[in-house]
Amino acid sequence: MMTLFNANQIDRISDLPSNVIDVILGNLRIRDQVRTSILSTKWRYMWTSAPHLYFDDDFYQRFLVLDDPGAVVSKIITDVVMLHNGPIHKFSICIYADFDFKITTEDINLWIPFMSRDVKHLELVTHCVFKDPMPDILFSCKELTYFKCSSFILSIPPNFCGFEKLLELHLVCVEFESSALESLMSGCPFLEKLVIELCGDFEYLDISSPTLKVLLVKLEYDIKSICLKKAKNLVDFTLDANYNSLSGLIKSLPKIKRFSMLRGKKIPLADIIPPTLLTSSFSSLEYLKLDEFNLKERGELLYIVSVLKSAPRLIELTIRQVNMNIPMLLGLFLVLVYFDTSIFILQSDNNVDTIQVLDHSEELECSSWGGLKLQTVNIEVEARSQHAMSLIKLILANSPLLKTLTFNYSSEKLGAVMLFRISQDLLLMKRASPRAQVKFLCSTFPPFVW
Amino acid sequence: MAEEVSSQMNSLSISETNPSSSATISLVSGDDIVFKVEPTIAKEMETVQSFIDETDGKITTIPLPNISSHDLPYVIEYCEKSIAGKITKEFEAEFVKKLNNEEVKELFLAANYLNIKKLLDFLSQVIADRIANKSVEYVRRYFGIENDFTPEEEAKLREELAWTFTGVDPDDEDEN
Repeated sequence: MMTLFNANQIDRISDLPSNVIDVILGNLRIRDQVRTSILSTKWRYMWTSAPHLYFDDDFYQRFLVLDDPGAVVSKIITDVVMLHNGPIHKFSICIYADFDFKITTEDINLWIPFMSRDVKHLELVTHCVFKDPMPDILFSCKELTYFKCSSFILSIPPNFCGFEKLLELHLVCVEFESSALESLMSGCPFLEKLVIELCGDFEYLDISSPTLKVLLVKLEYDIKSICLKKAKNLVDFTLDANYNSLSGLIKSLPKIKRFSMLRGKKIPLADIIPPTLLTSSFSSLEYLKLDEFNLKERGELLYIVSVLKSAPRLIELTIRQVNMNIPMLLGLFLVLVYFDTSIFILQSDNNVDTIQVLDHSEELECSSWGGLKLQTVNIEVEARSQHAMSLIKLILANSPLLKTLTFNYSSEKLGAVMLFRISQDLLLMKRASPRAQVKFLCSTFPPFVW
Repeated sequence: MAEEVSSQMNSLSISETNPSSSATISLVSGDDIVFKVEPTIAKEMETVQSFIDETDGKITTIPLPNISSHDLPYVIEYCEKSIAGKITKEFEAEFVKKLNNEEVKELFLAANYLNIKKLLDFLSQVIADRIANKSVEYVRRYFGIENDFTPEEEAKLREELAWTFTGVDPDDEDEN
């Protein structure tokens, strides 16, 4: 009986049924996958039944040295698709390495017929900015549950019968022909997640899908309004807007559980989420994240307080005063690290008053509050923010369930005395939760956290 | 052998004789070591569970001739975590750190034999990670595959599939 376990040199993997080997092959990147055909005659065509095909930057980068890598890569993808023999469930092209690489209409018309009956997970993503109309053949992939595509002009063919099984849709750099998005959405009766990233040529976003749960909208261009009232089951909404006319953008919101505002441009929150929406839409809110929030303004502080009142079920709150523009952060980092040590010594006594001990007139009325449900709070500020301290005091005093409050303080100058005063203030604040941990972090550049 | 196993796995009761306990299921490894497990663990192993079901639960001692007493405790550990809903990325990373290439392969075969889908999926990913970007020779050694191509056939194939070879890791790594 023991002989079976000394079988180190015996090849027991090759004899496994092909569906078992397919699971291993399905986890390999395309080059590794196809290279298995040289292992032995048994493996010669084994990869051709693997149900997943991934073409990514790791694959593409090997061809970057060529004059026309795109043409070579398209040819290889075509060869792989033609050689493949069996259902393709996942087909993914995600190539960001070359701005010139384009998936052409001809490519798609050649590849998709080999998989349109079976493909469930389809990604066609490049960095290319030149857009062609989305080939009609894509609309024939009826089994799709996940579809991500970029750089197309979306127009819906008249004979489109819908993506009856689609759960998740990502549109990146897609332009919409008039009412194309609405037609597409109405053909996806079970859609749960929609991501619209850097798409152009539309003024109004009116989402009415009743099954939608998660929505992420990343805007590079001005649009006039976002109306989500009819998406009644939406629970998670993320808005990432990189332009200035955010004011009045959100016209309606259903009752959501998670709201994230990335890159808020320090526009008053009341302009983005009008007080009338607060009471109707935030009553079930559990998670709130606000980036580029202007905590220097007292009006904003008071608005946050009214948000806390309108959102009695809030569990997690993140407020960032800084923006998460990573290249800029790196630049800052380089400059500031260089100066850091000398400034630290020179400035150590000069900044005592940057954050004052709380002035009693500034204190927020909080004794009459019921308990907040907050468990996790993250507040990140740049220098000089009395309001942040007031907010922390209010949260600590009214959150009996609080587990962790992280106060991340970043400034170009860090003085030892000033840091001591902040720590002292934090220590003195009354805490409603006996197990609350208060973490005070400081850095000389905007914190590098996601 | 048995002593070695008991010292490794003190949390599990192990006996060399056939037990007559009714509440637990006894899994007998290929080298005749008995592992007593809760019936819920057996449910994770489809092959074992269907054996129990077929005999209306009368037989609770199940021989697993294809699985050694060295590998079975790992399988049981994974199933226990799975039942407790505690399969996290951290647990999986720790779990796989303990395993050499041979053990990963043996466990993969065991997971396939016992039909434990989660473990099989997880180990497929581990195997894929371990052969990623490795040379054909390395992967042959890894799986114990005998090359039955003629040199001419192989050369021709390598030429056809030249695009899959650029930048493959050099073969100097320890296999285990």
